[in-house]
Amino acid sequence: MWLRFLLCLILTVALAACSSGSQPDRASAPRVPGSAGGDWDSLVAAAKREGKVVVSGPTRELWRTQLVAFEQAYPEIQVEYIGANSRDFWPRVFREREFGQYLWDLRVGGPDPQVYEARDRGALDPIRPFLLLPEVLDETKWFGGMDRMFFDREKKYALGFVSYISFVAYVNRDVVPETELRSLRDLLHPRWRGKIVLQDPRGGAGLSAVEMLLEVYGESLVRDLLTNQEVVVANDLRQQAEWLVRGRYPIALGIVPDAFLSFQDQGLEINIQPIAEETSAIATGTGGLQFFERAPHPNAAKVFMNWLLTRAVQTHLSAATRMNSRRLDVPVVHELTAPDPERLESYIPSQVEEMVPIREQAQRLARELLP
Amino acid sequence: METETVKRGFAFRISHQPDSQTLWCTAVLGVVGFLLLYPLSLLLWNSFQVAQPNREVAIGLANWVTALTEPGMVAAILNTVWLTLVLQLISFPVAILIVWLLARTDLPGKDWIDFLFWIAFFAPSLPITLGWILLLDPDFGLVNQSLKAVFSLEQGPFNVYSFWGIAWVHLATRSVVVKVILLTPFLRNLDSSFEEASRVSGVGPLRTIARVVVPLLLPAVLVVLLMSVIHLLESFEIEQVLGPPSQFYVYSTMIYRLLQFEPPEYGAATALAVMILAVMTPLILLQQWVSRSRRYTTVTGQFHGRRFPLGVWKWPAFAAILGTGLFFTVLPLGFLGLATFMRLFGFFNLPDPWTIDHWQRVMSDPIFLRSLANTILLAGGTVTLAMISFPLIAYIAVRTRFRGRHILDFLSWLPIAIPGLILGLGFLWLFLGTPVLRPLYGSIVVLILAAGISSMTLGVQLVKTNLLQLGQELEEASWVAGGSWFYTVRRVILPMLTPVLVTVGLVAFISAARNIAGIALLVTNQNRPLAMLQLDYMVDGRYEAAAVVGIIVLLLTTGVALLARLFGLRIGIRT
Repeated sequence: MWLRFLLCLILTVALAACSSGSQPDRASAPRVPGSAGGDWDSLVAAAKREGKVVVSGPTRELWRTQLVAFEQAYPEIQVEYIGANSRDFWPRVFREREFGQYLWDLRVGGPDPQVYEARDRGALDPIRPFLLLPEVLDETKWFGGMDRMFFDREKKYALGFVSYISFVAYVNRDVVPETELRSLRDLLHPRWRGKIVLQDPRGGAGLSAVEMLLEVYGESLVRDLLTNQEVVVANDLRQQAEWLVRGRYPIALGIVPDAFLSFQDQGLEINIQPIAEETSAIATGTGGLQFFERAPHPNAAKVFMNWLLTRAVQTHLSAATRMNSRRLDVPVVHELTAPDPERLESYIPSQVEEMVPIREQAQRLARELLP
Repeated sequence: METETVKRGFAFRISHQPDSQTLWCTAVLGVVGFLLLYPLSLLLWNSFQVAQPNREVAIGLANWVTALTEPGMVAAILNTVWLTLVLQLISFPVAILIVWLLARTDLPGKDWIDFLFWIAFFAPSLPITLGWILLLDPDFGLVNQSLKAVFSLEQGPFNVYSFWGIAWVHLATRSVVVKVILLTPFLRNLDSSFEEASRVSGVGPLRTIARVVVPLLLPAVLVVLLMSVIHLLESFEIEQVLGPPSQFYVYSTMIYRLLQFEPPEYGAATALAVMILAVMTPLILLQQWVSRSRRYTTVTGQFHGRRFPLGVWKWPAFAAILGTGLFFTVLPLGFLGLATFMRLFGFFNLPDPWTIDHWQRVMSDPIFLRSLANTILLAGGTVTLAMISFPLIAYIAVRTRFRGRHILDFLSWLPIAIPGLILGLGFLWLFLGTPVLRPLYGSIVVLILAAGISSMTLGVQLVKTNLLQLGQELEEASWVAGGSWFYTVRRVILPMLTPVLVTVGLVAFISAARNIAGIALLVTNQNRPLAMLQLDYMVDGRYEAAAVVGIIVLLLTTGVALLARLFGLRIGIRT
């Protein structure tokens, strides 16, 4: 009986192996030829006939509310919004496309390595040819110009509309005065052993922190820090922020400012400051945009992406999410992390495709050195 | 030469011609086998596919090597074994004693005390874990601060971020409570003549429990023990929150860690999950062998349901059990309530620490009502699917001579042996890769199927174990009296199964209402339930809003549980 069961299992695996990469038997979505330039009104009319745009974006309610506000500007186009983190989203998209399911128009999310993989798999269409509105195409309105807005090598697939200085470390200055800890090199001092909490460096902000330490200070510092300083790894942003605010771990690496600013919003007095360095990273976080190949509603997607990049929308989005827009005509919402256009060349763009090898090396180091 | 043995209602024909019942059982085996083996085989195949630097894919063992050589793996395995042993050694005797008092004695108020444990089961574990941090954090925990002040201690005596802290939170949340609610229906089905015979022989109550009750309940005890072990191998919420400061990691956190990589390492994570199945397989086979090795009939035509009189111990026992029940409910509900009405959970020093903002924001969230409706649909659909399919599978496994019944029984263990995060990817492949199921992709039906499969193990094993307790002479009496098979099932078997079916239904309901991992990859804008909204809040760091959703789900399931109890208590064995 068990031999038959084993044979059935083997047969099933064999069948699965044959079918896992098979061509879909359902008709795929028609490919709409791209239209670089063109009449905006015609585009909007075509978008309205489509009636819907399917967008995946950050899970945060604030993002959802701001992005669904597109329906107020274009009531004839419904927004179907799904919040998902990139770790869950991209494997799902790849599987769907293997079976001929082309379900998504746009992804609002940071340009992490899976975005570049999606481009290499042919899952993305370029965005740049479909930016049409004059205020969107105005080079002078964007920090670093339009080229620096795109994070992929070809400068047309992975766009970032948020721009902030991504500090490696934040310190609770009520517990650790500035005189005792001024630079990232000071983190190696024995007095900080067991006092540092790092956001999970397998991805996201935690990995970005390790990536920047590696890029600026080299592997030796990273090895020393992760091996000798008894760094605690937090798996949750809120938990890391609470530990920082309470002073349990007064030094936090890879934390996003909004995580502890929410404590301040609720009336708690906190004194959390970054360790500022000469060389800092500049990031877009989750404020990026990708356009899917074979999007089911391509015209609505093009209207959406142009709408998203206008000054009015960027102003609202920036104020709600407390992330500085890349647009120079949008008010700064968080002074501490606002990049200085005069120092453009001194910043390291941490999420560009050229940094992927550094990021992968940082991930390997974290994996090797942390328990 | 053909021989026939005929029983009214279920014909057994020994011949080369398959009868209709055999075909029917084969069809059930085929459907269950496909729904389980297809996604699992794809996952297994994926674990042997290794991504190359040039993005090509090769076949190899690299994922398995990565999984087994992951830094910290040996320590994680040892931690898991140690934690499992400690928790089972503590929780099982405590649970057995509680269940015995609730189901076998004249303890006052046992019906509503029993319900307290259900409420504890419905409560979400994350806010409760945070509540225990609030009490037992070594630096700012309220209990530690109080003790330091009273006894002039330099350091508080309790540390929630330790092995014993983690074990304590497990015991205070799920470990004991789950065993109590799962074992109670089986003890209610125990004929009191067994215990009376033991007492007449001069054996005291505790030895009677150990020497008579537990052996009679061995299949149920083994099922609950196995599920507890598997659950511990897969649960990681408590360890994720409490483990980092002491670097205490377990097997499940290693799986979760692999899925947090950029990109997620599904292949290596699947390898670890398959190893759970490999470790569990001998135990599952042992459980099957034990179930088949002897009879465990406790419900016959001469069933006696007399309760053991506690005598002078009645009110002390009542106080102890009530206190235990309240401990498992009042504290967690208190934490939940605190979490929803505090501006920042745990921060009492704010100028104005109390607020109803979190409730207002959740209730006014544009997707809240649709999520609530989807949750009711999802949970209701899962219960319906469970109540129809699980007894059917269990009946085939226990009551028929179908040659594939042991395979069917074994298959029913598979869903629980694979962590939800990985099973979710398997479901994605299942629904996308099956032409007949693909049109359902994106609908609530897909979530119902996924949730139903996820809760299959518990449901089937509970019903199966209950069927082992029911004497076959009860069905035979019905056949002899002229009842058809369908009549016998409807008027004899189902009424006796009602208490365990109520349990199965409730567990399926809460499992579906809270399921995140198994459905995360299948959720769309149209079918997303409250559990996903709760996840969004948690990812956003809004624990308070997540606790609001947790309370709403708890109220929903408590309401359903009350209705189910009302229905279930009117049917079934009267004692």
